[in-house]
Amino acid sequence: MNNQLTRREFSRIIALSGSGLTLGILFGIPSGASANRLAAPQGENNFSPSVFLSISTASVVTIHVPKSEMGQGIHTAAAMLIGEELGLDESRVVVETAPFNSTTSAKLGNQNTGGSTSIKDLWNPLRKAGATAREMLVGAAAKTWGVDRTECTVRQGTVRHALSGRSLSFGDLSAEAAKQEVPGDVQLKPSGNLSIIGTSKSRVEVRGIVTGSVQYGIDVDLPEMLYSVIARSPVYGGIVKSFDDMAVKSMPGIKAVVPVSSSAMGAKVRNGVAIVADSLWAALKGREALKVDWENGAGLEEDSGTISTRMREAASKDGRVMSKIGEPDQAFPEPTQRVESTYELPFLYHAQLEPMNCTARFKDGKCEIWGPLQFPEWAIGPIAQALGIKPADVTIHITQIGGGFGRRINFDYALEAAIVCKDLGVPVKVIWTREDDMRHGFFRPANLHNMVGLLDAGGSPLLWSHHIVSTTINVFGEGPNPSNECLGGGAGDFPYSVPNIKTMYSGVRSMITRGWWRSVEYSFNVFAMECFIDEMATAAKKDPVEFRLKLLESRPVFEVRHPFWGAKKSQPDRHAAVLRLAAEKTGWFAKRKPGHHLGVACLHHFGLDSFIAMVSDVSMVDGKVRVNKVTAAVDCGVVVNPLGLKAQIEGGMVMGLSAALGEAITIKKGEVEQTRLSQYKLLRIGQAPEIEVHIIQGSQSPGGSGELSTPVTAPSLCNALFSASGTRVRKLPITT
Amino acid sequence: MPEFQLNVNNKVYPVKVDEDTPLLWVIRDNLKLKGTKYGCGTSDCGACTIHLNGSAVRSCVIPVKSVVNGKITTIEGLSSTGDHPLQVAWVKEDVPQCGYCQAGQLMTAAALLARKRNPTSAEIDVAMSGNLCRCGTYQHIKKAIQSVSQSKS
Repeated sequence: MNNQLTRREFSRIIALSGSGLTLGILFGIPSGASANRLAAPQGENNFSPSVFLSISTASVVTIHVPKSEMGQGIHTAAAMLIGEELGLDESRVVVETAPFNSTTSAKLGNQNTGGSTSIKDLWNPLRKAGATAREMLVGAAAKTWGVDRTECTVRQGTVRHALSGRSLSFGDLSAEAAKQEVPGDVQLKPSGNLSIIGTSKSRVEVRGIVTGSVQYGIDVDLPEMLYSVIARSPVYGGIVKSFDDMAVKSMPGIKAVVPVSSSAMGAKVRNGVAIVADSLWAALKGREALKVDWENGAGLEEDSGTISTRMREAASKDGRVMSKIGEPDQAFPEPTQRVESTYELPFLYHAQLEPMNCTARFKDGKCEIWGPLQFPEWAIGPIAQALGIKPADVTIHITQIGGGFGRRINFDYALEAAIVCKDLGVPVKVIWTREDDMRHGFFRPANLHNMVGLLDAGGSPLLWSHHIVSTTINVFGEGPNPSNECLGGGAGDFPYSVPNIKTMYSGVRSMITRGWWRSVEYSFNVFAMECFIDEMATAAKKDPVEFRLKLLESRPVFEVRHPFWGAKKSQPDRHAAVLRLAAEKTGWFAKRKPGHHLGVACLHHFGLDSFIAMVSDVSMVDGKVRVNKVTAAVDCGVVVNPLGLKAQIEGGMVMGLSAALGEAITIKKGEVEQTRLSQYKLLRIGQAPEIEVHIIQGSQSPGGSGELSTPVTAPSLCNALFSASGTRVRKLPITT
Repeated sequence: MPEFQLNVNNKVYPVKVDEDTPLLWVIRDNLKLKGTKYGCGTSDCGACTIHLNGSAVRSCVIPVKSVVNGKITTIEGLSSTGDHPLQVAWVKEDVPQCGYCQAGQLMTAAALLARKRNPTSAEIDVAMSGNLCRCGTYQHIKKAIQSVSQSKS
């Protein structure tokens, strides 16, 4: 993949409105294969990151960031990157989420947010945008004063000419700056001269959050807006046979009853009946009074037990070979020690705290959408199709997102809003209740792993065999989706030195909707890998950290080709460095405190270009596990905001821990059994351990961090539990 | 449709709503105070926490008819300029990630400190146990609460 920027990477966009300088920074080349990870089929305009930067005559610097803010802190990092190059405190940069439509997508490129790519995508474009604006402001000042531009400096929103003691604000200069030629090549600040990047900064929106003024999707409020809830089949795949809305239509506040057809939309929404009313409460009461006769098909036979059986059957046969090294199928000469384990993990729910919602208005052939979306680019085509208009007639306004975690990559709720508002002429806000959200989630696939390892007489590994079985990711309907049947991340990149390696994959069918859950397949593949390497270490009578270090460092650098990430090389030095640091910080090799048991796991995430090692410290109290402390060591290359990076590592760890300790979605007769948050055991404050994050500040371009810590959390915990109890946990969650 | 007089953030609002309407939706959609969030509707997550006569309650399960004589405080009324000691501590500790649960967290914490100046770690855990944070900011929530309670002592 070509990471070079094109020669004509900048082009000036006509000033939007009013006066001042507006730069549209256009990139024709993706920042890396990562940008394509979750992308729809590539087109000319749908994958390249870029940014709008404007400086008003009142000196207000505004950037329209083509990434959704969902808690990952990208708006803060964006302000920092611009501020660094513009010589301006990040707090003086106004950050807004760019809207999405055919005009902005042509100019801004990739506006999807996922795959831990926000910083990776924006690292260069934002700094270049800031530096370009800086050069144009300096040029404007030099022209105004008739001096050489090299005599001018930029500081805190002004350009100064020290020799004459003159200065002009960015606002004073913005009109003149807009007339400057856009420089073809600008110098970015050298790494030794940075004043903002690498320093810890609070979130730009923190005051708005603590005062309740930040607007999330659910807070959108428009004149004449109506509210809608939708009755959807509780059984997967169920469709509306008939419905009776006689009682509903005479109820107070009810404005319309709108069937939502899934077949008309290529099964991108669930079949159902929408109730539209002048208040949410009226809509909810209307839905209660609605009588729907559902036609339940094969979904009725779907059950957690049968899915598990299906996975075990698939695991008993060979799967598609994903990677093969050496002769893994040979008859190994004795004596050998055989280690064999099966791990099984459940469907998981995102449990983002803001339930699905979206507001849509269709008027005069144009549609506007307001909502918390991660992937507007995927949504716009189907929305246009549902309304019988061109994508160019749809605009999506992205709000602050109350938790994404991958759920809002799917856009079903936005499509619902478009369908429901179609004939009403006024804005309609579709809201999912929590029960709706739990029944109709896009769950992390259920999965199972058959592991086989062989050790020679000296305890050195001879064979590593990993057979991944999962329900894959598929948006709606039955069966593995071939395009997504590649949930091998982590396993195909198995980093340890073993002469014979085989990884296989089998997808099994399921009616349950499955989606991308923070770290996607890494959340389960790495669990199996890092638990099983620990089992191998135990069988070899070796220390788990030393065992891993030796196997990491004795393997020459290798390359893997991932379907999404492209070709990536192993980096055993950085991988081993985080492992050593985590061991050092936790006193791994020192005498342990009585009653404290440690477990370790580590990962080089080839997709994120980042490294992590985690050590969990647990105690057994009255036969139950207590997690005392979790320590992580990370290397994500250059760190823009250490505070933001720590938050991502902590948050991903808490999510991983929560899942390991209590989370599972189970299915009975085609229905989700957990319909209240109290039935889905999320980690609460009293169970949250002390967390310590140690950062290795690298010099490489920033790697991703949002999905880095989740995969290693459960294995480090379960390896600590083995140390505490002598029992291996091979099925999650631990409490069930 | 009956009319109710609601005392919210020291202001009286007349509202005409169905008497069973959960207070949460009246606050959000009738009074347009959007800082109080909907998370579950079943008092399982705490995102909708407000103060009713000084106590932290879950507004998603309280019908509007039951609060007509009550004094209601929402996140918008926790302080006049966003400078309640907990809000200041939340900013200083940089607690939020997505931020959606934080109004509820702050309201629960504020009610706790109002009745107990120096809660123990275990008391904080109990009081805050009804407030979920999916982003995993618990460690910072606790530090922020402790920074306020300790500075008071």
